Amino acid sequence: MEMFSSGIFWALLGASFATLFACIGSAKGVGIASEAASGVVAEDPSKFGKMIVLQLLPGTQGLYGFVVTVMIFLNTGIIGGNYDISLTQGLLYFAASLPVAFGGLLSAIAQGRAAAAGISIVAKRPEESSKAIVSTTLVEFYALLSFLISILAVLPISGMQV
Amino acid sequence: MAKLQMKGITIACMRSDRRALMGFLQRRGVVELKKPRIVERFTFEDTSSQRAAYARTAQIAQQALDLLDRTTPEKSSIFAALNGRTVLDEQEYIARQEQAAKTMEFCYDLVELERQQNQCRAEVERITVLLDTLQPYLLLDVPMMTRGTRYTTIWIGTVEGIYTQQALQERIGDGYPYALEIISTGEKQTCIFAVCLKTDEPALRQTLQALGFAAAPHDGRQITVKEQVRLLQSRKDALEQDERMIRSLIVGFADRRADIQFAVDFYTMRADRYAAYGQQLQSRNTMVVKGYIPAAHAAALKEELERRFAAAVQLRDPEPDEDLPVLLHNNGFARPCEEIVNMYSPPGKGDIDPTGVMALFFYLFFGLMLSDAGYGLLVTLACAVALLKFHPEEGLKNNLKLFLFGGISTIFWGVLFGSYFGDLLQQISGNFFGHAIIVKPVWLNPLEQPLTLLIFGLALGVVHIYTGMTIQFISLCKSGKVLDALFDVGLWMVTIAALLLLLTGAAMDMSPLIAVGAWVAVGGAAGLILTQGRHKKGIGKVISGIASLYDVTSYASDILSYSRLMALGLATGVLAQVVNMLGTMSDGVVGVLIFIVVFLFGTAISLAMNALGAYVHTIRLQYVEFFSKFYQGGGRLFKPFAAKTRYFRFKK
Repeated sequence: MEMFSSGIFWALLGASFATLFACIGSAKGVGIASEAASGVVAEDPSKFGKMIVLQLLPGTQGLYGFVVTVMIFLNTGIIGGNYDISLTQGLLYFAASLPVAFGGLLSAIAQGRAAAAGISIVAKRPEESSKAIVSTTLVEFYALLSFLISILAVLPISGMQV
Repeated sequence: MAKLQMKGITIACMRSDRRALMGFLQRRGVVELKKPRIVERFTFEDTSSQRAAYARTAQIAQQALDLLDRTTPEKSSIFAALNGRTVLDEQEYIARQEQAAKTMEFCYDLVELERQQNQCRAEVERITVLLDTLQPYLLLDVPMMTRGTRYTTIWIGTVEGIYTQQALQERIGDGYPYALEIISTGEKQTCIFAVCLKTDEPALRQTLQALGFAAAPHDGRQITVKEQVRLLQSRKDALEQDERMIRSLIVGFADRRADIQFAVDFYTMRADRYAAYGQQLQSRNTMVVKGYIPAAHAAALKEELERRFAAAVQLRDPEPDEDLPVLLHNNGFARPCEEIVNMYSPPGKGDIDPTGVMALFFYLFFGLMLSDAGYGLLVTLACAVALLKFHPEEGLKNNLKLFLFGGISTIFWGVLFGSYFGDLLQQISGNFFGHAIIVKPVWLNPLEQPLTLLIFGLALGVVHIYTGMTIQFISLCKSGKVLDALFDVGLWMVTIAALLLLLTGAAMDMSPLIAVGAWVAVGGAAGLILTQGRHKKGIGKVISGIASLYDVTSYASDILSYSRLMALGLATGVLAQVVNMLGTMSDGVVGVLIFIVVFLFGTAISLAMNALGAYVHTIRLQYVEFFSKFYQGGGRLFKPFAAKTRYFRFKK
């Protein structure tokens, strides 16, 4: 299979992984939170504003995955036309995309559950919404770390002579 | 930056003044009432029936207002909400107070109109349903209630299923004379008219029952269906006419809206006031009110109370172990952050007010995470316009100021990082003018030197955590626990500093740093082992001492937590660049149009997501990493007896 020995194939696969899995996670997470929020909003529409923050929090993973994908596109030249990279470099891009892909996937789902639980806090005690938000953000940190490592890994690859 | 000093206040007044005095306290809104213990010769007045009556009055006014709002919604721009409630001063309040009873007459009228309107609607609804059921019998030319003549029996009604005349006749057979007509055919049933001799009735009844016959409902009048429909239709028209008239009558009250709003607030306040003085001690001729007041307001309130009422006011300094309510007071720079402190928990007994210190870090971190001069400018301008052009209420004003300062900080960091809507200028100039202008960052470009930014973020984290530990150190010293301060806080500060020195030395390959760091760290650790078990006995001393070293992991994870400063900052920059890049994919006039759409839409999403992230993560850093070093919380927020109004507020 000639394809597997082409660097750009692996780079593109990595780029796709980053967005694909992080977005699946975010879609699930936001979905879980939104289902819970809709139940509350049905009872009391005025809580929508407080809910929307909690609903959106599991959405950041998808964004992080997207950012990593675009960074890979930019650094490999998939956007811009000139994509002459070695097999090793391609594999490195693939490896670099894994943290945000899977960290994002699982943390977004976990965060969706945390957000849904936070929503039940806000439903009962709207004045405690900041505590619900901070509890949900505790999960967010692990998505941030995954993103951070992916970005730190992607940036230097184009300069490597491998 | 402080918790306001509280004073205990005791007001004794004549019982006859009780309403006026409570009203005055309610409008001032500076005294928190305390539920007193019962003492001899004093009792509580049962005000529950008055309270309920006024609450009911307020509810009727609200009902009238809701009706008015439903019928003729008030036209107002979305920005009007920024202005908050209408401001009233005391003279205006007293002048309007006299009208309130009169306004209530309108409210009762409106509620009555609503009842009539509902009645009309229900009747129209009923007639519509009736007309629907009559529709299939429109061709019947005898009255619906016809059940037969002297010698015949007549059936009018439906059979289940759809039949032709012939099919029905086949079912009935030809054993006896009868006549059958199909009046109409519906979706699932057939309306029929059948007649037979009375003597044959049982036979036909049996057949029809087998077909699922149901007699048509009638209203007992000897009129044809056509006539009945005509009568109902004209009744419906008349009712609809009535409803329009009622509607126009309701609309006629539109200019009373403000009065009705006032009545809602006025009677709500009254109900609250009765509830409040039902909880105060009263003797035959006097009433005693106890509570807390911020010391700053105390003297002025005392003077005013004694001048306006036959009242004696006593102020006292609280006992050391009294459960005092907490009210924070900070300068304009820090005040917006009070809300964030109170959301966590107001400062408890031993706590200082952390708002001032926190505010500085809050704005700093928020800006660093949003980190784009363009976004910062947008946030700053939006908040500045809202603050200057409108008169937002206290809570909203503080939130706007929070983002105003956060926005200014964002501009600052954006300039340092050379990010103005990402690389907007470079993309535009490169794509549309053929010559890319690159804006040089004042300090560094995060995308090129992410590691520098990461280390900078962690360093800021160390400063943040050390600030928290220093506060703890000082407050322990102040409360006389110098040893605790030295052992529990001081030793950790030394040990962590030494470890950081060691790391720096290792990273930069400087052996003197490594040596100093290592030795001091070992010394610090030894100190911790010796001191951390000092409250235990025997062998427990050593074990707790050694176990305490494990805390180094929690300090390490606290510091690493500040990597989010860099991660979020980087995310903003990259996202903004992605938006620009997507916008500048094509050139020419179409390219410019595409760019404008993509840029506006993309920037809106990017700004919203990143501002949300920056806000939430800044708060987390304060709550989890900073507060855990020195802040206990658990205080009780000062909740004064005040006017809880929806439409009006009192001038301060």
